[in-house]
Amino acid sequence: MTASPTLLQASLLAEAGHRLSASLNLRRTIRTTVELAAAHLADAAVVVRPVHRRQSSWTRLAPGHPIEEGTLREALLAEVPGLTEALDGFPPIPSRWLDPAQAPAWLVPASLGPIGALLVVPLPGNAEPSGALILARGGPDAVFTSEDELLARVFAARAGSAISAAVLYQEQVDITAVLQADLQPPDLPQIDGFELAGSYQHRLGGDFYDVFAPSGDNTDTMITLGDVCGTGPEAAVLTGKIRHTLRALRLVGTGPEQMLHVLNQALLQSGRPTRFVTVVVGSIIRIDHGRIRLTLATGGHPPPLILRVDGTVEEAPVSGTLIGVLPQTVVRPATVELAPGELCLLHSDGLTEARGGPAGNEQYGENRLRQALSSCQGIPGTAAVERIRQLVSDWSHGGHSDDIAMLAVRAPTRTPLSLRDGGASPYAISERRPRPRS
Amino acid sequence: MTVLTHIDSAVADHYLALVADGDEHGAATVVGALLDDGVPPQRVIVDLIGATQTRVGELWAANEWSVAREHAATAAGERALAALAARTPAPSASPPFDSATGPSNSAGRRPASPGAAPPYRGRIALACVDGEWHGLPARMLAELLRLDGWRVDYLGASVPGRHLITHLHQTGPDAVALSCMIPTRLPRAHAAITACRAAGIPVIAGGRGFGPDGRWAERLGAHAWAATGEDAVTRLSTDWPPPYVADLLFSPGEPTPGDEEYTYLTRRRPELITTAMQRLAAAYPAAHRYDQAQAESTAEDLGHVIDFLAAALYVGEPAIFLDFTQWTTDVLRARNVPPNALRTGLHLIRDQLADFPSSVALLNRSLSEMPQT
Repeated sequence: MTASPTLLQASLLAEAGHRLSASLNLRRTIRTTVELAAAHLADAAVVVRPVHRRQSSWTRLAPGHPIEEGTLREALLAEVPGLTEALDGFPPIPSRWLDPAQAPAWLVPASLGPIGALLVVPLPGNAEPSGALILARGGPDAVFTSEDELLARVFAARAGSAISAAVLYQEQVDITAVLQADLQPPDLPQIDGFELAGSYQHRLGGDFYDVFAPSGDNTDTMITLGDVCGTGPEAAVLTGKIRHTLRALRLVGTGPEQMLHVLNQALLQSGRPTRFVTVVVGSIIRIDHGRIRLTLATGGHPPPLILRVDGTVEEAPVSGTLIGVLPQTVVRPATVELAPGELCLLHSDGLTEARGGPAGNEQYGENRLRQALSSCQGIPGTAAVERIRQLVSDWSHGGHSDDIAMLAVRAPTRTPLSLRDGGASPYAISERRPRPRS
Repeated sequence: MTVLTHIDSAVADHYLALVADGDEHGAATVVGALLDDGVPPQRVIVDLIGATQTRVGELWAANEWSVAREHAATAAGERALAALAARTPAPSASPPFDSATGPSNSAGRRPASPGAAPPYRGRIALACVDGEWHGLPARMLAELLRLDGWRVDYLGASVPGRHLITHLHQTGPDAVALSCMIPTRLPRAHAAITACRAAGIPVIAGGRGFGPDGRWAERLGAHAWAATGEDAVTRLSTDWPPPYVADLLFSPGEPTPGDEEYTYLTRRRPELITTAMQRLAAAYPAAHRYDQAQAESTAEDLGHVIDFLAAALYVGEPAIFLDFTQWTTDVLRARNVPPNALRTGLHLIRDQLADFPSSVALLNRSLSEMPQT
C-alpha cells in the first residue's frame, strides 16, 4: 500500500501551492515552508534568510521540537557546507558532494542523531535569493537521491517565490504603518476636572480629532475634531498637516477663533484649492462648583451638541464657514458652560449621514442623534460615546460607516460611593489611591 | 481594615453597586485592592469583572436596569479591566531568542525567577465579529491570554472582515480568536472564519453566539470552540495549533434549503419590515397610538425577527430562532408587554413568506411554542 513517488510528489506540490499562497506574511510563509519540508522532504528543515546587518534569521523544524526561530551571526554561516553558495544564489551543490560530518553541531538538535545526508537548496527570490533551505536526514544510511534533489528544487522554487512576495508585501506594510502612525488619534489624556471620550474608525484620511493638554503658559485644554474632504493618501497627508498646524498654533497660545483664521490662510497658501476641511476647535477650562467652560469655534462643521443634566439636548450656538476655500472666513465662536453630568459632543457628519434603518437607505439624522444623546443622561462620557456608536451601527445594520469620529467632553458627577449598603463600605478602599496612569 | 483575600459575595455585591453607579474610579479601586492583597488577576477577571457583567445582563433583561445604566456599568467594567492590565506584568513581547549564537543556544533558556513573565506562547489576534458590539468578554480574554504569555492583538468590537484579514497578513499570528455573542452575526462569523482559514491561520471561536455548547462553531469551520475565556486559554496552551487539514475548495454537500431563503430574507429585509409596519395597525390595534419612537423600535424588533430567522436558516439550526422568541417573550414580559405583540409580529412576517417553506415552518413552530396569554 505505498503510493507511487510521483503521486507523493504531486500531493506535496499541490499542498505546497495551496498553503504557500495562503499567507502574505513573511514569518508564516517561512514557517509553512519548514513544515512542508520537514513533513515531506527530510527529517529536519531549516530556512536561513539572507544576511542583513551581519546577521541571518533562521527558522527550524526538527523532530520532537516545535518550530524554532532565531538569528545567526554571519561568520557562522560558512560552517554549514554549501550554505554561503546557496545564499549567494549559486545552483545547489549535489548532496553527495556535501559531507554531513562537517555540519556544525548547532545546525540541528541532538535528538536527530548524527546527520546522514545534507542538502542545501537556494530559495529563489526577487532578482536576488530570498534565502536557503537546509534539509537534513538522520542515520548512517540516509541519502538524498537525485529524484529527491529535483523535488526539493521544485519545492524551493515555489517556497522562494512565496517568500519573496511576502517580503514585498511586508515592505509596503512597513511603509504604510509608519505613515499611518502619525494619523491615529491620540490617547486621550486624563485631565482633572472633566472626562474626555473619543471614538474613531480606522481609515486612511478623512476624520481626525486631537487633544492638547495644558502645558507651559496654556492652562486650558484644547480639543479639535475635523473632517478633511475626501479620503485616501492625499486626504491623509492633509490631515497630518492640519493637525501639526493646530498643534503649533496651540503652542503659541492661539485661541479657537484665531486658530481657524490662521488655518484657513495656511491651507489657501499651501496651494491645493480643491481640498477643504471642516473643523471644530474648543478650549476647556474648569470653573467653580465642578463646572467647566468651553469656548468653541467651528469652520463649516456641524455644531457640537450639548446634553443638559435634565436630558435636553441643545446645539452650541456657533457657526462658521468652510476652511480652505475662501480668503476670508467668518467664525462666530460661542461659550458654553457644562454643569456636573452635562456633556458636549463633537462629531463628524458621518454620524448623522449613516444610512440604514428599517427601509435600509434612510439617514440616521439629527433627530435620532439628539434622542440617542438624550438617552445618555447620567452615564459617563466613555459609555455615552460607545452607546451612540453602537446605536448608529445598529441603525446601519452593521454596515460600514467608516467615517465617524466623536469626541465628548463631560463634567463628571461626583459619584457617591454606593449607598445601597448604607454608605458604609465594608472595605477600607478609600485609603488606596489608584496609581497614576503612565 | 478588611483584607480582601478572595472574591466572596460581599465583594461582588459591593463591586456591582459601584458599576451600577457608573463609578469607574471605585470599580478600579476595588480591583487594585484585590490585586494588592494577592488575589490572582485571573480570578479578578473571571470571578469579579466577568461574573458581574453576567449579572448586569440579567438585570437589564429583567427590566431592573435601563440600557443606559447597562452601558455605564460596562464602561466601568472596561475601566476596571484596564486598571488591572496596567498593574500586571506584561509577558515578553517577542520569542526568547538568543541573537548572539547559533540555533542550539537559542531556545528555551530563560531565568526562572519567581513572578517572572510566563513563557512566550506566540501571537494571537482577537476580534469580535463584524457587527458584534459586546467587546468586554473579548477584552477579558485578551487579558487572560496576555497573562498566559501570548502576545495579543485585540482588534476591538465589530471588526470588519477585511480589517481582520489585512491584520493577519501584516502580523502572521499563530491563532485567531473570534468572539460572537449574538447568533445573528453568525453569517459574518462564517465569512471571517473562512477567510482566516484561507489565510492559513487556525481559528478558535468563543461566545454564546456560537450556541449553547459551541456546536455551531465547528459547522462554520472553526478549529476549536471555548465556552469560557479560561477554557480558551487552556486549549491554546495545551492543544494548539490544530493539525493542518486540506480545505476542500468546493463543498461536496448539497446546497441546504436554507441558503435560498436566507438570501431572500437578507436582501428583502427592508421591504419585509415596511410591509409589516403598514399592516401592523390593522393586526394590532394598540399600534394606532404609537409615536415615532415606538414605531421605530417596533420596526427594529421586526428586523430582529428577520435577522434571527435568517441566521437560523443559514446555519440550519432552528434553535437559533426558537431561543430568540423564547428570550424575547421573557424580556417583553418583564416590561409588561403581552406576548401577543410578538405573536403579531411573527404573523406579519410569516404572511409575507408563503413561498418559503422552511421560514414558514420555523415561524409556525415558534408560534406554537409561545405561551397563549
